[in-house]
Amino acid sequence: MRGQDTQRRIWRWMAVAIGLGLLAAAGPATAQDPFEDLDSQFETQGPRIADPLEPWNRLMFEVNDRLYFYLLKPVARGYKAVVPEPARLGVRNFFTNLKAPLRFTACLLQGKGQQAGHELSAFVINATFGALGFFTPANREPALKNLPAEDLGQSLAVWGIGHGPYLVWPLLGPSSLRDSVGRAGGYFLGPLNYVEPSETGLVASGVDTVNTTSLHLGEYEAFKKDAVAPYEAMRDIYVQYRQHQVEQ
Amino acid sequence: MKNMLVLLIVLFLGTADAAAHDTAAVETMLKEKVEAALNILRRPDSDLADKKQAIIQIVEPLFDFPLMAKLVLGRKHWTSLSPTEQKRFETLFVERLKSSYIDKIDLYRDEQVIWRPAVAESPNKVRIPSAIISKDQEITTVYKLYRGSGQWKIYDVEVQGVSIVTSFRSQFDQILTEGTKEDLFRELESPKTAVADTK
Repeated sequence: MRGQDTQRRIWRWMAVAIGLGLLAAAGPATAQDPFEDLDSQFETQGPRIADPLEPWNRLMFEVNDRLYFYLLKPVARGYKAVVPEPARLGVRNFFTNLKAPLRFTACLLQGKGQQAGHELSAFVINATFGALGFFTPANREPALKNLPAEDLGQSLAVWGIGHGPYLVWPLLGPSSLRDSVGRAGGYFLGPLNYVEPSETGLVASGVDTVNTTSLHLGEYEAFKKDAVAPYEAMRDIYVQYRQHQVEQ
Repeated sequence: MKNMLVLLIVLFLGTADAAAHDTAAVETMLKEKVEAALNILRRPDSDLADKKQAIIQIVEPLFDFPLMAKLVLGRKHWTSLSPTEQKRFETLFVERLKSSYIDKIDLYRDEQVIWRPAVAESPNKVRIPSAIISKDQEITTVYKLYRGSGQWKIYDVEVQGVSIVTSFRSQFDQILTEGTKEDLFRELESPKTAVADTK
């Protein structure tokens, strides 16, 4: 009698347990509407930025848009027609290597000692064996390849400083108060700033810009085509992309 | 009592194991489809229009377009539309998303894809990170999938940390906060031709 009772109780518990198990297994799949679940996720995760200077920023956005289509793009297309891609990739590598001191400093300021070491090694290897950085022999070492491009704006972010207001600069494009401060600091860490006469440095920056543009023709056009509200899209992409860089 | 404990443990392990197994399965599924699409793109013979058509056939079932249409508006704006308007929005938005994807297909011709381990965020949500190697540089791309009614589908894609859903969401929010539904539809229906000469 007694044994039977216990057995029955066990069976009842097992039934309950199975029921619970089934509920647990099936619950998340059916109980929640995907829209409800994911909508709240996007509601909380969207990064925002204050834009008190919106009229100025909108104007600069327009100015940069015109500058791209009427100046930068035609020049970059002409340059692309004359200079073959391998050479343009070499020029890109050269300028990327020149910015190593900036990345090195930004790494140190974020406490990324190892990455700073990698930056230094890559810089030395590319500058010597890579013919001043036109080639990237350092890339053969996986640890030295595709290092995230650190800058001082990211260092400030790591120190807990927020964006402050959104700022669009003529020629330079979207930024924020924090990132502008970082950029100004980075300017002093760039060798081009110390080239004499200063016109040479400016010309070099111009070549860098045209060269980079020639490797990315069509991207801004695609952005404009996809966007339903380009100004807002650019602002939002800027904030999301910077967030991504800081997290890297 | 002991039996029950064992049973509970087995049940628990069973569900956890099933979840892990599902993640692996969805990873394999996505990789296969993306690789298949890339292989079509790399075929030297057929013309681009045919290739695009073939790729769309493979890729389209991977996306939950109706869910994406809801997510880009968000609860607040989605529920303010009538069912007819919701349908109209969905059609227009999905149209735009697809054409934007098709435009970019041939940008990926020579690229190589590296897959990173998937991250299960919950039993029904998974992030599958990958890197596209383009001109010797890595472009981080994360596919975000959700399992609704048994099937895993993509509801968002992040490229270099930029989520498609988030960026459309803030744009539509802007349009509907400053303007009206008519502005929204006008913007979506306006023909886009800015990209004519890119090369």
